[in-house]
Amino acid sequence: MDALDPLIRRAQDGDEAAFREIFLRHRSDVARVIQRVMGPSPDVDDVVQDVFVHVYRSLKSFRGDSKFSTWLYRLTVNVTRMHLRRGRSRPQFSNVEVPEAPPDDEPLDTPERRMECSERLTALYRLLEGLSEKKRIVLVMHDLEGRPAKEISDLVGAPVLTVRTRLFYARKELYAAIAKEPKLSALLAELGPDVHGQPAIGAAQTNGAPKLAADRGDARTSEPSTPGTPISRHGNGGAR
Amino acid sequence: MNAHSAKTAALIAYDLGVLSDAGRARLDRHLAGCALCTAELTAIRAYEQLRIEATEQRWPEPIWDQMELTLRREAKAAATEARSERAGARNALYGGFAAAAAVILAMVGGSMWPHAAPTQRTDTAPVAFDEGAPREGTVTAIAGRATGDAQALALGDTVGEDARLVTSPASTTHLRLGDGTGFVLAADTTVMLERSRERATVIRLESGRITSRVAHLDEGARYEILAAPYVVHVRGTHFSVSRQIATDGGAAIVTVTVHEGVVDVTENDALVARVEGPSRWSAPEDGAGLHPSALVDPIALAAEAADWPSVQIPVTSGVASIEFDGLALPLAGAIAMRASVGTHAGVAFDLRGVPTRFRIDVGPEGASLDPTLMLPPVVADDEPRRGALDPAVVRDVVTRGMDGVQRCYQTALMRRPDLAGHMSLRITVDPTGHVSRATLATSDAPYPWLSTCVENQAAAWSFPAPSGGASVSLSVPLDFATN
Repeated sequence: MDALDPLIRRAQDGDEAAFREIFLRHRSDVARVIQRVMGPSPDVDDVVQDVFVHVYRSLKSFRGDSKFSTWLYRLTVNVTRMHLRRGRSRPQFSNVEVPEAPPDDEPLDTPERRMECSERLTALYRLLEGLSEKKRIVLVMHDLEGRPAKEISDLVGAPVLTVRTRLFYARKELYAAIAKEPKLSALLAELGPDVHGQPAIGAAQTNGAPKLAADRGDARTSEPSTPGTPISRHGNGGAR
Repeated sequence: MNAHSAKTAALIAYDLGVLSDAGRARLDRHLAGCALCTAELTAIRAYEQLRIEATEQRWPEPIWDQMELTLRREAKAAATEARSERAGARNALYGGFAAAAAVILAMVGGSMWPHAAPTQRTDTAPVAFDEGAPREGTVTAIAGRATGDAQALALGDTVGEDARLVTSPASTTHLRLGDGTGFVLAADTTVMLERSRERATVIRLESGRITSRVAHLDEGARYEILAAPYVVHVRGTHFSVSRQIATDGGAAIVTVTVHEGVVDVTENDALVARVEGPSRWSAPEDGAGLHPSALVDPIALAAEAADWPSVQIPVTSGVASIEFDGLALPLAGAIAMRASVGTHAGVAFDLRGVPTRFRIDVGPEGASLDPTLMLPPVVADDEPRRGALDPAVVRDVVTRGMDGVQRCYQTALMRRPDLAGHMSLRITVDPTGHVSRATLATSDAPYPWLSTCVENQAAAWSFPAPSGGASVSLSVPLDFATN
C-alpha cells in the first residue's frame, strides 16, 4: 500500500483547493483516455466532468490500497463505459472532423497529409466503435495508452489472462474490419502485399514514425517483453 | 470443406521478421496462394501505422472553464461533507445507505391515478415508519415570478403541505426542504407539495421540470415525484423529472434525468425502469431530456446556509441572464437569492450571450447588485490615449494568439457544427504590456462559450510595454467560418 499523497489527504480532509489541484493535475490524462476510448465526440467534455464529479464524491473512500492514478483510471474507465453502454455518447463521425495538429518537428506538414491522417483516424475510431465495449477499452488502454496488461487488469476488474484474451480478439476483429474499410484502402494499398519475407513495416513510415517493433508496442509500456517471444509486436497482450 | 482462418500470430511474427528462414519460406509459400492471410497481413501493418498515428494525435483541449463551475460546486459540497464527517457531525446511520441502494418504499394505486394520494402498498409486509413532523420548504432563490397557492412568492417564504407552486416563463425558483435536500422548479412548472414531512416528501409534478437534490434517507423515509402515470422513487441522489403535457391530447412525455444515484420509476405498482446516474430515461422513448451534468443544484441546502443574507439582482435592460455562485439564472424578472457573506464573482450575459464579469460584496445585511456592473463599460471614443504600440508588433502578437482562438473555434464546432460569425474583440493593454481587459464589443456568433473562450485566450496575450507609459486600447476583428 502506498502512503497517501498529502494532496489526496488534504482533499479528504475537506480542503477545496486540494480538490482543484487534483483536477488540474490529472485532467489532461483523464481527458486523453476518454477521448481515445470514445473517439471524437462532442460528449467528451461531459464525461470528463462526470469523472471528476465522481472523484470528488468518492475520494473519501480512497484508502491508498492502490495508486491514486490506478484508482482514478478505474473510475475514468467505469464512467466512460457507462456513457458508452447507454449509447448516448456515440461518436458522430459524419459531422466531426478528427482534430489533430502534428508536432512542429514532424514532417507531417502538408495539408494533404494532415487530411489523409485525419481521415484514417476517423476511420479507425469508427472501427473501434464496432468492437464490444470490453474489448475496446482493453485495446485502447494497451495499444494507445501503453498500459501493461496487469494494470489494465486492475482497471477493468478482470484477470490478466482475460485482458490478454480480450486484447487478442480485439485486434483480430480490428484487422478484419480494417481489411474491409474503404477509407483505408489507400493505406492498405500502400502497405500492400509484400510476401517475400521482408518486414514491410517501413513502407508507410513516410512521416518519420518509429518503425522498430520495440519502438511501437512494448516501448510504450512498462511491461517487459518476453525474451525470444516473437509475438511482441504490440506488447505482450496477445493470447496464444 | 475446411474453413481456413488467418494465422494472426504467425503473420505478426512474419511481419516483424523474427521467423526462422525455414518458417518464413513456408509462410511465403502459403501467402502466395492465400488471399485471406495476405489481407490480414496487410491489415496488421495498417493497424500498426494507425496505432502510431493515433498515439501521436493531439486532441483539442476540453473546455476546462466551463466544467470548473460545476466542479467548484462539487468540491465545495465534498469538502463540506468531509469536514462535517471529520467533526463527527454526520449520523453514522445515514452513511450506511449508499445512494445506489434505491428501494421502492411506497406505491401509488394505479386505478385511482392521478387523483389518489400515495398509499401504503398492501401486497407486501407493510413497512412501519414514522413520517415525522410536517416540514416546510423555504424559498432560497427566485428569479422572475413564481406563486404559491396563487400568492406571489418571495425570498424566505415558506410553503407547506398541499401548497401548489407555479413558476412563470423564464423564471426559476429554488426551495430548501432541509439539510442537504431541496429542489429547483424550472420555468413554466407546476407542482403540488402533497406530502412534506421530515421523513416523507411527495411532490406531484403537473407539468414542467423539477430538479431535486436529496440527502441520503434513512430506512423507511421516502422522496417521490409523481409524474403521471409514473412515480419516481429516490433515495439520496440528484435527479430531475420533467412532464410535458401533449398538446394533441396524447400521453404526457415524462423524462427522468439522473446525475447521481439511482431512482426507480414505477407505473401501477410495477417497476418500469431503474435509472442509474448519470443517465436519462423517458416515456415515450423519444422524450427530450437534459444531459445529467446539466442539472442544477438547489442553492443554500446546507444547514448553515439557512441564515445566509439575501442578494437582490434587479432586472437590467440588455441583460438576459446571469451566472452567480455557479448558478445560471434568467434575468427576465428580478432575482432574489441567498448567498454567503463575502465577495462573489458573477457573469452577466447580454441578449447575444456576450458576457460581462462582475463582483459583489455581500455583507451580513445582504446586498443589492448595481445594474451598471452587469453592463460592459462604456469606452469613450475621445478618451485620450497616450500609449502606443507598433502595429506590426500588435499583428505579431495577435497572429501568435490565433492558435488558441482557433482551438476555441474547433472545440466549439464539435458542439455547433454550423457555428460561424464575426466578432470584434476589444483589448486593453496596460502600461506593462499585459492585457488588463478583453471583451467582445460585438459578436454575431451565437455561442456564449466561444465568446468566453476567445476572451480568455486574449486575456493571456502579452504585448511589449506600450510607449508613453499608458494603456492602449485595441480592436481585433475576428471572422469565424468553416471551409
